[in-house]
Amino acid sequence: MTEAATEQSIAPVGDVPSASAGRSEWSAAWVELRRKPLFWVSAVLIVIFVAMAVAPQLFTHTDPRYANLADAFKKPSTHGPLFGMDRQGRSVYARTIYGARASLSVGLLATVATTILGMIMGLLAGFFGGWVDAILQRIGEIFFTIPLLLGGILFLYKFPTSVDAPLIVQVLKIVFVLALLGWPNIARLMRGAVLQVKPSDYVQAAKALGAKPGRIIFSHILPNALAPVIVVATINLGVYIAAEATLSFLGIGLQDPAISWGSDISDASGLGEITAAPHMLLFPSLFLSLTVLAFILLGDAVRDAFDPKLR
Amino acid sequence: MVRYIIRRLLQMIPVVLGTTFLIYTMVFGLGDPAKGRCGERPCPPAYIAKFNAEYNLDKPLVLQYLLYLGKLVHGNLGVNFYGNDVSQELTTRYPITIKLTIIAILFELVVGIAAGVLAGIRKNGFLDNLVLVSTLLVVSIPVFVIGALAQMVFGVKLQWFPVTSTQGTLGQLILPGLVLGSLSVAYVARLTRTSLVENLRADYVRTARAKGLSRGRTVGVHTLRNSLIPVITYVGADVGALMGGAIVTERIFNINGIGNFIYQSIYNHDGQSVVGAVTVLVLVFLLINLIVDILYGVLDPRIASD
Repeated sequence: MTEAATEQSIAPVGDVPSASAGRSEWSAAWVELRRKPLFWVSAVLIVIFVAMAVAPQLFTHTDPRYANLADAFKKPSTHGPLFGMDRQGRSVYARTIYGARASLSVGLLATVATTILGMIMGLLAGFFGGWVDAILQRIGEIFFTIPLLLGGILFLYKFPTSVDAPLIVQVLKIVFVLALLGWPNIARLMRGAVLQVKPSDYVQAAKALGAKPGRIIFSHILPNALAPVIVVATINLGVYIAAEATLSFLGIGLQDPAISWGSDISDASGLGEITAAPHMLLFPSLFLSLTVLAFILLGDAVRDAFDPKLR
Repeated sequence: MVRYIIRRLLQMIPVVLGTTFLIYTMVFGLGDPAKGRCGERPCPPAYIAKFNAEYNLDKPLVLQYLLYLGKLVHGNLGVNFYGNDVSQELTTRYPITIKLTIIAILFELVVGIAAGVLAGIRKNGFLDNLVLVSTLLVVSIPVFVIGALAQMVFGVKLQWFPVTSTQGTLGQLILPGLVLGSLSVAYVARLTRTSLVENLRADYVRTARAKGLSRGRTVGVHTLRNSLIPVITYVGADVGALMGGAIVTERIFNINGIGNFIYQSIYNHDGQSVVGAVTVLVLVFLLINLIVDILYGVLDPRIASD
């Protein structure tokens, strides 16, 4: 859903066509990025969430699956459960901390997968042109027209996750469907970037000197076409995290022993829970929104840094 | 123009065929299509044989798909788990979902464009920053969180709106409609702002101002019309996201529309209904995008001529 908003505002990389500018563009962007307070805010948030995902034990000693019904719906307090207790008397704080792992791994893996797949498809389409381009574009359109959530629902409905499947299998299944439906976005961007770089003199010169397609792609086209892809990939990360949470909220994403912000929010959003224990809804929602916000801010900052018009 | 429309129609054919084939293969070609038809137990062989014959599953995949496509053209989506006709189930429910979506789109257009214009007219002013920050917040909160929070605050605590919307009357659909459109309002506002700011710098705007036209006329007539082109494309593409969002919103507010139908069907392992409803939504989405593309050609003649 961000496609229209992001594609609009991305500067064409072709503005700096010389080969050496490829490197200086990156360092100029870094200099620009370092000066932005919003970049540091988002970077710090992301580092905290990644730490939470890698080592949740650093933040809490409570077992997120330990349930004590006597504590059910206990309100948050400074000298007790910090974020309160859920319906089954599990610590909302511990569950919120442990929930970071599922969200971030889906977000990161889905972004890596869509980016790699999209870049390969876009490169092939843009570089070879002709019928390869026509076929790849039509295939992309087919996947592009299936809305992310509808496609995800259909796929996960058809191949449901069994409750005892390990977290990584559950995560990979969601990543697979997000990547399957998400790559045309990146491919389109990559194709456009390649078409912009291809006619430039240094690529023509390399071709005339007899460079093989592989060399032209890796040392001339890729470095120049990478910037817009990275920007969109960063913003998409937030979108994928939200998509995973939505699928888990609907009950077909991650399954119960796995802890996910989406399914915890789903548990908390029954009318009984909302009135009895609004903290059950508040804390996972807050962490989820902060994570998405952090990646959107990062994407915004990176986009501004790469946009020569704003410099 | 006519050539442009014909070209768009021709381009749509492979996409429609590809998309429906993909959905069909995923649901009937892979795995066990009869799974879940007999509740928790595996189906008896006699039932499977009857089921396979009824849905042509004993024929090669491509032929199966063509037969399915033929049925689809006639509006026949098969019979679901409860023996009800899926297309009939959808017919009784679609008016509510359409009402909900229209409320969301109106909200998107009116509030989004107004906020975008207010922000864009004075770049870096107070209103601009307010709009940028508030849209950023809305964008980062997923729809289902906004829905649950809105239900808690406006439904349960303040009691301004009904908590659930079981009858689907207009008054009951307002809050869910606003929730459904909230994410897109933020995007429309940002898009309008960016495109207005860009267009206000254009030469033709300077010329209009130099000729002594009032500020209201230069912004309202000259700039806004051009700035709204990307907004319209966005709203078209957004219908797909609204359909996904409707599943979530209708579930939260217990609305009897197509979204909730899909959710309930997933919950009840009612495959025929899930596939039928999702296929119809994807086709509607394709159709709306075709209309938007044609509209785009009308608004911006450069698109149609190249």
